[in-house]
Amino acid sequence: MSEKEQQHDIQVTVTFPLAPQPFHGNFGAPSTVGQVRAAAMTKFGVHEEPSSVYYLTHNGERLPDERTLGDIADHASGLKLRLVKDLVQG
Amino acid sequence: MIDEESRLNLEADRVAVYEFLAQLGGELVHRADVDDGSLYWVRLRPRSAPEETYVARIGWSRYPQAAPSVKFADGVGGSLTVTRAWPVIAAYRAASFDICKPFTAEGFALHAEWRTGPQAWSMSGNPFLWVVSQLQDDLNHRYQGRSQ
Repeated sequence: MSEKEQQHDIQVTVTFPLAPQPFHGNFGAPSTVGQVRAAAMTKFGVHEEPSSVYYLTHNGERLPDERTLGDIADHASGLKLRLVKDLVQG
Repeated sequence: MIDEESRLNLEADRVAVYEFLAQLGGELVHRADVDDGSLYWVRLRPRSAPEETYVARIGWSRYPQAAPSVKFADGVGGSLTVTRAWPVIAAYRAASFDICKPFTAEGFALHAEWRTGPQAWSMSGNPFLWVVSQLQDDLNHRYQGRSQ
């Protein structure tokens, strides 16, 4: 990906089943999944707990926090992600 | 039989469940002519093994106030006591036909401490979608095969 491509904004929508409305934000292509996750979690009013972890998915694939939006979006100008609350206990 | 308000709430929220499952190769089945308004069946596939199909029965008592009973069946309308109908996933207990996690009625019955605090049942957003997405995410990310 060229430097020019990395500078364009990506419109990101994050859904979370327990939130009444999705999160919307514009991020630069070099932004990371972790940055989007943090912003979305703040909007949804949720935070990490000992019994659960949160991560983002794209088309069912779990996204690591360090991955960049430009890498995921390729040349698309928008991304739809889903916030997952992973319940680790049982 | 659930109350009329619960039935209507389920009908409103199930639209997002249909869409969610369709995107991931799954399916939501509601047999209005056979089941009462409380029962839904979902067909799910693990991301790592799309040739495998699992059917879960989701039974609501009050919606959105209470977590549903969730059990795997050997088909839509099928038996709920077939071990091979269950995926191998941590806290999915095929031997006792229950899911011991804080999104099922069975889990909350076993763990009274989950009824308060961060694991408490949430009525916000779309709890129907929340339950189905928990099942799909566990199949996508914690799946270890089919129970024998």
